[in-house]
Amino acid sequence: MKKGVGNNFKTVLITLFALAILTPLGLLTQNPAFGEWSQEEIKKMLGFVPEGLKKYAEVYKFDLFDDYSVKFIHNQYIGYILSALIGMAVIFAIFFLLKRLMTERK
Amino acid sequence: MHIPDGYLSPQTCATFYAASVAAVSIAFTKFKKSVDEKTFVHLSVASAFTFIVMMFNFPVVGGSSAHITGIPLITYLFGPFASIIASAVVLIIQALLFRDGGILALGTNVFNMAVAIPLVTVFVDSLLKMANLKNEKVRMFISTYISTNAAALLTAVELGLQPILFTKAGKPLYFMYDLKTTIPAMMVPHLLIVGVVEAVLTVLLYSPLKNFAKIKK
Repeated sequence: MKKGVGNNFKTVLITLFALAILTPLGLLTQNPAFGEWSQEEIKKMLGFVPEGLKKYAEVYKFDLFDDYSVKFIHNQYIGYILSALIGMAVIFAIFFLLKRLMTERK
Repeated sequence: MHIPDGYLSPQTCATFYAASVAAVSIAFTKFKKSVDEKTFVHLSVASAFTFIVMMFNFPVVGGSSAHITGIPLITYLFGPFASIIASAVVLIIQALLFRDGGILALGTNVFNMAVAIPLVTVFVDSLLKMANLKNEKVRMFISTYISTNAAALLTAVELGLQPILFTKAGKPLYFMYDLKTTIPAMMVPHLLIVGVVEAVLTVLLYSPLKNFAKIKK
């Protein structure tokens, strides 16, 4: 059984990387999701930007990977794939740290 | 379904932060009891899968776009508590690194997706079991469909309440459309398309993946 699990794990990892390469398919639609508009889009729709919305929309400023693009890479598809890989790497790192923290204490 | 910052009043954000912190802490306590080294490896893969799946936006009715979450599948594979942890990690990364969903709205987004979807999935599944529905795949399809739509409804209600509760001089302070608009706008695509896609994915992927996820639930 152990061997089976191992093989399966490898397959899953390969599948994840394949999916990461395919993520630009998610960019084929340029329609914004309902309720996820930018301030410019809201201004176009309403003619104004609600006061509170304007105030709180800008509290967080880190935008190196804004909306799954990469600031210094101008090709949006490559930026999207890179974002997918970076996101996965960060997630793996978080779980690796959690594992070390939680299993060493035992 | 990722609510950006500015769309919700600080009161709404604070309420859902409190609810999410409580729910994720409980999940973490439960999760810690069944944890071993392998669990983390499997869960990190599950988390990465959820992250990737959410990047596939597709067009839906009404000139909008949507994505599935993969969270019901993770819930069936790993149980609700591990699923809450894996999905919460994804939503935190999305907000901090990619500005997908706001920082103030993070508590609400975690509640709508990472907390509500796993809990509704197992709740509906156990109701169906009690109703003697023996076919596991049918149960999976129905629970996934309902939990996906529950998350969409939560989002619609939270957004739609803003212009009813928070206005200044007759103008909305935060989100601008009320329930009459948000409920159909969120629910029609989720009832017709997103819920079905998510349910089909859960049923199709569960069998090939279940051996991989053999950990104590």
